[in-house]
Amino acid sequence: MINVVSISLENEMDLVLAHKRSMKLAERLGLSTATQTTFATAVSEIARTVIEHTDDGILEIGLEQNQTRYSLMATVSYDNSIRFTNNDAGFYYAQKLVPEFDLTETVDCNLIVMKIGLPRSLKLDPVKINILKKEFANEQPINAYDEIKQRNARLSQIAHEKDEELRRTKLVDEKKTEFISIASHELKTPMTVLKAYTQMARGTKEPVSDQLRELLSKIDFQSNKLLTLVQQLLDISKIENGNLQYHLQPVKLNDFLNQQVEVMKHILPHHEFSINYCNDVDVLIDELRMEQVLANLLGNAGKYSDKQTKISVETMLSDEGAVVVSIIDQGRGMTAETMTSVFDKFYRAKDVLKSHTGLGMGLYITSKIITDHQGKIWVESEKGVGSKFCFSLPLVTN
Amino acid sequence: MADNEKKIIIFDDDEDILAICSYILEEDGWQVTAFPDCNNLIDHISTIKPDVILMDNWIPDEGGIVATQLIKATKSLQHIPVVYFSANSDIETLAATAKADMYLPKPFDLDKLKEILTKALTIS
Repeated sequence: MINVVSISLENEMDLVLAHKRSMKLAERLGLSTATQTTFATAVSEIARTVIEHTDDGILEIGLEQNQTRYSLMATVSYDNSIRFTNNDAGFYYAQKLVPEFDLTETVDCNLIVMKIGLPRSLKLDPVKINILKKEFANEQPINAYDEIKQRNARLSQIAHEKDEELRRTKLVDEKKTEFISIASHELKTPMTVLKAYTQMARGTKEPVSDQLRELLSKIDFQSNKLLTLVQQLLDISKIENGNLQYHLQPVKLNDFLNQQVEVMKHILPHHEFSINYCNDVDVLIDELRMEQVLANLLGNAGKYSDKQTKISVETMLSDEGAVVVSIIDQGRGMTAETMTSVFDKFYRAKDVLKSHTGLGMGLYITSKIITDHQGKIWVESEKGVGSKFCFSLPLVTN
Repeated sequence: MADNEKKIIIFDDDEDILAICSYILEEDGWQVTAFPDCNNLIDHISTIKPDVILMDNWIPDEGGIVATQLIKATKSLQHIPVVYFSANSDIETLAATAKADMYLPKPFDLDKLKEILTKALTIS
């Protein structure tokens, strides 16, 4: 059937719609007033009978092509538990009205089909039918009830589309996270081998020239860098999954910071480190994750400043029962614009895009770790003077 | 070989990992036996009687979790420490599920490998 009109049969008010729309379609097809009325009456009789039993019937009115001839056709489908007999007045009466009447009972639903053959003189063709379809699709509501019904249908369609969109976005997101997780796992395996062979080569007892030793140490350095990137990708996928887990333990802050600075001195041998701590305090941290934070902040301080400049680490108690750790460099500093975005995922400042490599993951992960520790992170910076990254951690209260 | 030599079995399907671990550990005085899968693992372990087992998460056919659980469910073998290793980020959870005694995330430092196996010896 070429569907032109579709009406859900929920209550008596739908009878009005069923009757008026059937009339209208028959009229637009050019049928006589008598035939219009006959068809519309048959349709509304069946619709009434269905509404008496259920509120989930569906009426569809349209045309059916049978070789060169067309029929005007109406179908009403409804719950298969409902059985009509000729004792149902409307059901009995409708059969008398239309030339073709058929009831099929299937496992899914029951279906009544009514047809009236259309004379060739109406000269129907696909173009005319399409115009008709469009006309009915854009038809103004017949009454207030119809208007509400149409609006409801539109709303529920929009809601459905939104749901679908949301579902798809979620799926894509899950797939992306899953991909990152699998990809980093796959990357780690060859990394393990690469790192181990390098380490074996460096540790060999056979004579190795200074040049080869230098090359091996460069390979080792680069594979460590690659490893950090893979680890960061993995962390991002964990953050997105909400799977970043912490093993919090009370730790003496000054000792912890000292250890991190000692490690970074080896990595940044050309920078001068200075420390200035307040009285030692206990903080509740995941040491491995906080090591990552310090490595990131100190690493950045070194990365974006010249050799032979100073990197300071300071701590200070705040009024709100927290301790603030600051990492201060004498580097290139940043613009106000960069400062607002520097903790965003995958953000890279324009002025360092070409001069400094990176994927813009480090500070995003760092800020996530700090906020997960109930802390805050912020930056103060002046272009050409240097940057000061600060983060706060709540103190352990006994 | 002397009876008092420390023995280890490594289950990993990556040939390079097996080669590296074998090389490093043999140099460190271990008697290493390596298997690329965990078929007949109870037989292998019962025959060799290792001091430590190094188990990869992704090992054919059943995988490291099932294999480790099997070892830990076998009375005569459950005392042997199993060190679980994997490049999977959830290694801690995996190791706990498998009932492994320790774990070593990949990629690992060769010194870390020696260190954790020495530590495993102390609990065996």
